[in-house]
Amino acid sequence: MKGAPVFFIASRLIAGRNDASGGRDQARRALRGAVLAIGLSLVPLLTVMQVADGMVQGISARYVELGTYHAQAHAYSDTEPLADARDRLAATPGVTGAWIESQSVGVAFTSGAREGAAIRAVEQGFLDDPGTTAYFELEDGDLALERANDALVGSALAAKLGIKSGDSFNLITVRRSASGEPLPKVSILRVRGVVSAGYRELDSQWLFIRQADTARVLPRESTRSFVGIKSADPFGEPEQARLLAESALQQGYTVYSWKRLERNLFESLASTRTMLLLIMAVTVAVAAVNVSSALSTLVMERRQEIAVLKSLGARPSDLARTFSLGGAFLGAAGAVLGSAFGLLAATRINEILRVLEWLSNAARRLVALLTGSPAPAYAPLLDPEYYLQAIPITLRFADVAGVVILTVGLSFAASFLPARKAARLDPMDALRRR
Amino acid sequence: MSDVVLSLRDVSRVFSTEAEDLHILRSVDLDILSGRSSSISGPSGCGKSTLLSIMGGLDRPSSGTVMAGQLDLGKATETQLASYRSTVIGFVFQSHYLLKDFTALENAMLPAFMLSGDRPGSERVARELLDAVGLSARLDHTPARLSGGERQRVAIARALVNSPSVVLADEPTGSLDEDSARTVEELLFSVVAERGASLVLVTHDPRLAGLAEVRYQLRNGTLATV
Ligand SMILES: Nc1ncnc2c1ncn2[C@@H]1O[C@H](COP(=O)(O)OP(=O)(O)O)[C@@H](O)[C@H]1O
Ligand SMILES: [Mg+2]
Repeated sequence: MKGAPVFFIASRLIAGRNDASGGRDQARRALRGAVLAIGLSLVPLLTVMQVADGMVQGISARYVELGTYHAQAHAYSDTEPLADARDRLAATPGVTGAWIESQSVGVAFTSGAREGAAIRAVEQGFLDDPGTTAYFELEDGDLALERANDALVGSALAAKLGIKSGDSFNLITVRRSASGEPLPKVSILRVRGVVSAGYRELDSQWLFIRQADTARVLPRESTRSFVGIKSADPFGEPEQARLLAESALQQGYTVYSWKRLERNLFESLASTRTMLLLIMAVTVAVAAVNVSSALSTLVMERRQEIAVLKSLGARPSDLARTFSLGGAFLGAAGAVLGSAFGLLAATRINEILRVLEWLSNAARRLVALLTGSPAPAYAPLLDPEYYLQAIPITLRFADVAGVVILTVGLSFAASFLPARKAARLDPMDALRRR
Repeated sequence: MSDVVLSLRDVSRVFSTEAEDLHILRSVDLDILSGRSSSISGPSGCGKSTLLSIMGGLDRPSSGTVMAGQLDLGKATETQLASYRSTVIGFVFQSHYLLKDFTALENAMLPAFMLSGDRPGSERVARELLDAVGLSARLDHTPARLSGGERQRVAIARALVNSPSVVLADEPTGSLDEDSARTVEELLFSVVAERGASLVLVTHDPRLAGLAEVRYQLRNGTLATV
């Protein structure tokens, strides 16, 4: 049989006709179920795929724009002061910004609480950079460090310390005396603004002060300073900032790209994504088993029609091809359905999570009401410690196409047994039984 | 003198069941002549359908030979038998056996489409045949929306769409009321004769059997001319 009649018969057997006699059409229902099962199994796969990509990109964009810059130039000798290097880098074509940052650690405390802090002494230019302002959320006050001892505090850190803009707090840093004794130094800082990077791990640590206050506030021995550099397209050309800086600086500096600086973060995010996708792919394979059983039902129910096709001249291999193609059709239908819902779910994941969160809290309140226990506090569904508060989405159509091909392939493979059953069916036996 | 299109020599068919061996056909000799009509009668269960299946290449004889031209059906491969069923034979069963998800036109053109892959060409031939059996107004109806007689007429068109040499009809009017049965049997004889095919008709209706040019009786597994 040529391809056209195989295609015609397969599509008609699978899709059916509305005006065909209904009768005991178990198979049609099983086929619909199989398509639905495949479609449903694809929803989490595609959602995780797209959301994971979005999360990885969102997390890395935040880390890069707010934390590591696009590249860092560290001095390993005194050939050129940092300020000169910064000015030279800032004037280099292709570099969109270069600022000095000094980093150290300390303990912030108020009368009620104390918390460890990662202190970052930054320049106002970094705070004004469009890349920075795009990802920093100002929760309170101003995104500015103008006067001496001004501070910007991460939102989670501010919450733990119980401070808001205008409040003062103490920062203890430790230097070592000439004899090696620890010498605590207390600075009184004033909160100018409360900021959020959208990522809990960062917001619970970051404490920004003026670059000009470095010498006064930070202990010289445990402070490291570098020039942070930004360029036009850090994700399209991740090495660009490093290459520009290397050619501008030549001697005495080592320049690291953000990819290098954030390698651990990147690798752990990528392997988590791979694990999740593998698990989800297994569910698609399980769903494809439904194709096998639905097609088997169809073969059993249509044994007479298969026998008639044989009496009309169809070879066993023609019937095998017809049913294999039918399996592929089911997979394709499931893939289309699943892609539509999966992509919809992915683009609406933030809303979906919010609805789920609201529902789970409503349920908890209802239970509390019914059992007479005190009303529970509103609980966020996802701990923002692990997830971004708002999950960014990216759609990669090559990935979606890959999933569709995988699904059709699995369904085709799953139709092997029913296809063989149809091929081997004895027409005499089927036609005699009525 | 007419050519022999199908020739059975000393054909037997034994079904082995757990209890015993059922000798349904014993030493059947039969020549089907080109363009002639034959009828085979006999009591229910005597082996008429079995004989027709062997002639149609759906079943193989336990012994003896069935020759269709140069092809020995008993020794043919599955592919050769499939090709034989599609080009040499047209089946009409007691039950219409139309495919329920296909329209009258699609059912009738299917054997031709399966053979050639040419859908417009197949539909053209099927349309002519459906016209000949008086169904040009029912082309787009599925079997569920056709009467019993109309279904059987579609089956006749389907059996003839590949211009077979032999049409094998197994009690084609057995499940129809008197009036439709008359219409269907008249059409069957006339359309088959017009296309120059041989007709082998299985029936236990003596009147219908009497319409055939050659009449056989199957009894105790052997065939006798009436
Ligand atoms: N595959 C089979 N196995 C066992 N017995 C069979 C088989 N096929 C047919 N028979 C038996 O052979 C006999 C003849 O059947 P059949 O050719 O259908 O008779 P008819 O068409 O004359 O009524 C019946 O008794 C039937 O039960
Ligand atoms: Mg019979």
